Amino acid sequence: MSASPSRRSPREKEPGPGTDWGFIERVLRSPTVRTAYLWGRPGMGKTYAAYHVGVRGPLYALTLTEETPSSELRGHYLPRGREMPWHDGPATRAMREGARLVVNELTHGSPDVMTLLHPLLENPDTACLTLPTGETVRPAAGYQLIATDNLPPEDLPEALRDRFDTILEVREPHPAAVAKLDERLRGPALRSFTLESDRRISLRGWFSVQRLMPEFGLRGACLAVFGPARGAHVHDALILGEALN
Amino acid sequence: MTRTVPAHHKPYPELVEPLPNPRPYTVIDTTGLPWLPTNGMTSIVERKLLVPLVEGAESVARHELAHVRCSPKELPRVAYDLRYLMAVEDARLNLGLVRVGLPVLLSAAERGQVAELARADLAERDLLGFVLRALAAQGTNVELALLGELARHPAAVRDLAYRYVRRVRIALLRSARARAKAVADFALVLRLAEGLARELEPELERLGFPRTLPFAIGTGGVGCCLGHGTDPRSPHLRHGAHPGASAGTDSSGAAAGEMTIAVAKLVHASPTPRGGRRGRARAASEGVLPRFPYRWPIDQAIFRRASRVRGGTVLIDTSGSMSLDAAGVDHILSASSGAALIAIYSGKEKVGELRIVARDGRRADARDLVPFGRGNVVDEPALAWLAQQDGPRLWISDGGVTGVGDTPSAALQERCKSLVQRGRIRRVKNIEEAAACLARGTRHAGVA
Repeated sequence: MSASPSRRSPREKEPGPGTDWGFIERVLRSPTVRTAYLWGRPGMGKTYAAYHVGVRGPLYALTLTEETPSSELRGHYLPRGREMPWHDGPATRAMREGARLVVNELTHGSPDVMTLLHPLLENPDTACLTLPTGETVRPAAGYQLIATDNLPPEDLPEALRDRFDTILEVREPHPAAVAKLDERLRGPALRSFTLESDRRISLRGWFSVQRLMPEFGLRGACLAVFGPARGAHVHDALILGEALN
Repeated sequence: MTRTVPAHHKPYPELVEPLPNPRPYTVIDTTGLPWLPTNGMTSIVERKLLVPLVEGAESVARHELAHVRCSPKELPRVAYDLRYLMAVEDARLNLGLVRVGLPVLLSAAERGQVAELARADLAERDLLGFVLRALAAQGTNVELALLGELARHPAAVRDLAYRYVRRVRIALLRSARARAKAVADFALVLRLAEGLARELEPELERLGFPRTLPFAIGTGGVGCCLGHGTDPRSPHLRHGAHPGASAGTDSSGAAAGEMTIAVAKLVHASPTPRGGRRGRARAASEGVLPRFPYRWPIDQAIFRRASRVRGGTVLIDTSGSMSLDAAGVDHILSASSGAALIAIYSGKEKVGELRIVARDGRRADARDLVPFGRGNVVDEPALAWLAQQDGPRLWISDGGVTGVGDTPSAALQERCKSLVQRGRIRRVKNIEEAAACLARGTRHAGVA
């Protein structure tokens, strides 16, 4: 309900202690961590961390939808002229090359994809993938699978959840990302991350305001990014926050 | 009242308050609550902000945000009527808002309402009420119209009102300027309010007006009072109505009860496999297993790719005669291949509960299917919730809707009907019908 009182949904956690980004970075950089599930609210920098922190070699990434077939990860035959050669998908390539595979929006995946992920998340002794070509691929050294999503691990099937080496929750944007915000926006942005979902403003939103500000002014940027009603409220709050003392 | 409020009308007091606090404010919509003393209120202690969450009410929110930013957490105990303090505090904030370029601009209707209240003050010889209202309206676009109401009154009355309003205004502006801040110091508000209380009452008596205000007011925290919104002396209060008492049948529409959303422990697995139903296969030019070799010379789309149909959402009104048992849940889950989201709702008195009893192929135990209450009460928020879920959206109900006190009303019925239409919700009579719809993959909604 959008009940008048803006309350948190039961699935939404109360604001807890902040995120230790130093620890998250250490985990992602660790050569012993092969699989990780990074979860948290939108705009917290999960994908950025998965793409940039501790990447030691090639990186493959894909975003799952309900329609994504497992063949998009594993590979498929693709007609070329009169032939039908096999093309490795990103998962197969990552295993062959010892690369990092980032799977975004994990819980959006179809059962088809979820089942394929089981062998990809296995420990090195048992991880292997037999392709329709008959070839069996085993993960090369350095292979990593990092999945990201907004939902907590409880929303994953148990068998999948159990296969992750680490489960990391991201509650706050990376301080380095916040530091890139204009000083005027930084304080309000930090406060807005802990709001309930229907009023929360993500770091992406604040960066958009910052980008548009020089051209449209603060009010114009807020209206353009958040729409007329929310934009007016955000603008008023920014002005009042800095002006009334 | 609980109604569907677009989140984009909600203000951001958390960005304004002097020190960060991880606990968000509760933003409460005051639209359609005529029994409230005013349509804008703030409790900094309880972290509650009451404002109308509708288009064109930004000024009210703006004023309340100024309270969050500048007012003390609690008004100090004073030896005089607290309304002096509240009026001067409102004036301080409104004048400060003008200085930062965010003036409180009331709509034409609100200006008319305030002017009417001011006329009523004067007609009832409540000059004290009028002066306080004029003070609180300083810095808004209603102050001139309000003072203009004095034109037909004797010079002595005009002089008294103008003199006090002017004194407060000048003192506040000078203080703000001296501090090089947008607003004056709160200590000045205390001094001004005390001076008003001390000097105004004898003067009123000398002119033959009552010394005190004719109605009592109580306030838990900082409240704003006299500039706009509902008249504290409105008939609702005069006749002893209390919050919620008339909410079910007032002309602005019946109030829905307050709804909480709960998720029962989903301890049992669905008898059917987890995941959505598979839809019709599509031909694709890339894939693993060729299924349509005859397409090779046409478009080379020889591979089969399954499309997936989502499970849908079923909302069940378990008030009164309608009930749900484990077999019913299983029936729906099996019709949707375990993919349906199923929730039940009911209410009692002013509150209700929407309980999710099946999701992702798992369902709650039979003991968690017992209804919360025997009334509807929360049809409106429950339908608003349903409208946000995955389709097809099915509502198992007799179609009757009620609000607080399980009271039906035409306005509430109308709002629910609109929700059903906008949310493409299909009303069905029983579980069998819902299961049949899900099995067919019904995507389009009818109107309840």
